[in-house]
Amino acid sequence: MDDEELAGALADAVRGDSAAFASLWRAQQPALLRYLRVIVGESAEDVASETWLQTARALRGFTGTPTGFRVWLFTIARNRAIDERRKARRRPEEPRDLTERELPGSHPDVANEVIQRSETDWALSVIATLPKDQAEAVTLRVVAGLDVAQTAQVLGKRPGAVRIAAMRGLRRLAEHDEVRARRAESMPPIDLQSPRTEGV
Amino acid sequence: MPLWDALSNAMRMTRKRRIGPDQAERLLATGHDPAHPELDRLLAAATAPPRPHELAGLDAALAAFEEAGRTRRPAPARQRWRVLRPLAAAAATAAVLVGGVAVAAEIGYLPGTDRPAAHEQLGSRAAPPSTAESGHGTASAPAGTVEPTHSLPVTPGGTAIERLCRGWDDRRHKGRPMKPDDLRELAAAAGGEDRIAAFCAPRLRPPGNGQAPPNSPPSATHPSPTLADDGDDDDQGEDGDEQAAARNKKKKKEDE
Repeated sequence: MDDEELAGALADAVRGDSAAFASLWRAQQPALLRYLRVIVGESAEDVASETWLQTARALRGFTGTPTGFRVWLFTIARNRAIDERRKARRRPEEPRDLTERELPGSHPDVANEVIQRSETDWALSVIATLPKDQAEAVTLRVVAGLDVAQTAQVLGKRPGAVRIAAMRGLRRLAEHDEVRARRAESMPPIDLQSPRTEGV
Repeated sequence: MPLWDALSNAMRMTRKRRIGPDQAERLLATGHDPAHPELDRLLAAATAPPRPHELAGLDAALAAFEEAGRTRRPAPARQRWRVLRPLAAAAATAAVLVGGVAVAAEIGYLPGTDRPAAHEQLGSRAAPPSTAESGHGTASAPAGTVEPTHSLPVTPGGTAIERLCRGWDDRRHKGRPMKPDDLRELAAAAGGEDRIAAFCAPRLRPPGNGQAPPNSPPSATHPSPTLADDGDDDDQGEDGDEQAAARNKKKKKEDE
């Protein structure tokens, strides 16, 4: 969904069009879920649905651009994630396992899917090992497709700080053992298509 | 430039070479940088097309969206005010020109300006919590009574008008002018500035109750939980996000 389509869907959704809301959801949910996967691990699904509930309730009062919408959405997600982490801190420690729930279902293309799943989940879990600010900066830039200024807005930081955090994150990722090990396997890069919206 | 090629080849072999700002930007924006192929696979995997389980949960979000549309219906009342406002303002001007209405305002009543009791009735729906609570402490929810909830719909027009009236009354007692915007809105609702007294008179009495002090705090009409508390478990609602964002901003120093 490019920015023009997003603008159309956004305007219709603000007017109350359910189909338009659904297409906004489809365009943003995968990236939202991956961002949350990095920052809250296995609570990502729960926090994502909380985020959408809040967005659904407030969307009719939204005034802003598509870019503003994405910043708004990810800001809501981040705040819900902060709440979630605060709650989790008071719960007994739970093991964080990204792969356990990702068992293959009865999808026709199971084999291919398993590879892709584990690959994406592996990538997200590696990014999640970064210091929090770096992980967030990298994920919002790469996965959510936000630019520096937008990322800075979501994180409540100055753009310069976001640039530095993201660069340090990449450096650290390049040094990561698993990244180097996988590179040693020298598999050709898989799908380069990205779920991020274009035009950013 | 064989020397340059050799040099860059050598650099490529060096594992420790660092990612600079430009390369970082390229990697972040495109997911690929020729000088740092080690990150290709990672970034490609992170941005791979959505998988089916990543597109589950639309129904719940959609249901919430549609539900929000249903509960938002009272809005038209407001729009009606907006349409009527210029008319009301014109009427107010005319009334002032004709004169004599000030007297009516003095005595607090103008025949024919009593609004239908709809506002009172709707406004009174906010009242049950207090009466229920002050009633019987132990019998919290006896069968047959309606448990007052936070989500009780309160017509925005009703409570807003009541609040304006209370503010107007309050200022009048203190001899201070109202905020121009509020005054305009109230005058529009009342059909003219000079009719405010008559318009507000029935609204300043809590329904079913004899009379209330004119300065009674407006908080009673806000049964919804506000975001004043920092309670961890509380969903702060959409408004809370600004505060949360502000808090984060404060909390977060430029790190590393």
